[in-house]
Amino acid sequence: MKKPSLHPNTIAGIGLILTVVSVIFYYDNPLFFVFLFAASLAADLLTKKMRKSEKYVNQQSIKLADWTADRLGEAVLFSIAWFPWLFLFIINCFLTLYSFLKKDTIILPLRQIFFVYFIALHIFKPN
Amino acid sequence: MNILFHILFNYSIVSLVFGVNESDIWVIALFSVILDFDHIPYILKNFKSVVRYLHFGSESRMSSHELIGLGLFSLLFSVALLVIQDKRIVQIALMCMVLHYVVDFIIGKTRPLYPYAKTEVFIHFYTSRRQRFVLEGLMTIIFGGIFFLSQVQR
Repeated sequence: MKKPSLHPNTIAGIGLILTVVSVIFYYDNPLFFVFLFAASLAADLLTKKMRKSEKYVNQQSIKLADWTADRLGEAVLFSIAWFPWLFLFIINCFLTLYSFLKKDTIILPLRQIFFVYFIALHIFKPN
Repeated sequence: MNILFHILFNYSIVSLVFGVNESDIWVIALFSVILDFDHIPYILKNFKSVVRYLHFGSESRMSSHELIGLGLFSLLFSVALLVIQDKRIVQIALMCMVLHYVVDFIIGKTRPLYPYAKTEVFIHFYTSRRQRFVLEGLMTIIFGGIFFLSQVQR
């Protein structure tokens, strides 16, 4: 029997939805926020792995969907944790446009950096 | 996505993240729909086909509705966050605008690189226009219900 397979864009969309759901818990439940945010990062990893597979490797629209979903996820997250992340996000937005048009990849992994920062902040938070 | 859904969905998310009071509702409504004003020239130009098919595709979206618009609006909001003392209301406005981009990206077809390229992106959550109408209607009813219940509880 043929295994049902999801389109990489759908997984990117699911990752974005998980980011939106995770920010709901940003203030009230940091542990749940971390859990959901980690799930969204995992979906992002899966998208990247899938779009580099033989079936999708030459499809520019899939790469574009992945990068756009990344930027939108950052925008949602940094509309709450805005300083200094929102400024870095703006740079990342224009870097994404530049990278796509110049066929290069110069993009900051802001969500991953923020994830490490957020965990470190809560571990080393003074009582 | 329809305007009503944008308002109801953004209201639900903003109330869960920041909590809302009555004066915030106008800010949420305004910044939930402001991006859609760019459809107006397209609707005026293609009025008959829009009324006939109740649909306008990614070609009705200007650059303000795409990645470059998101970057430029974020720049404006970041300046506002530095200047304006009531940061909460600016954050609510920013979040409403960002969620508008997110919903449009998830539900519809977008051209993130426009005006530099017209590559279209679709998330494949549905396969036909009928499914889209059902999904849109259902989601609007669900978030309408959430809004109604939250108002009753007040």
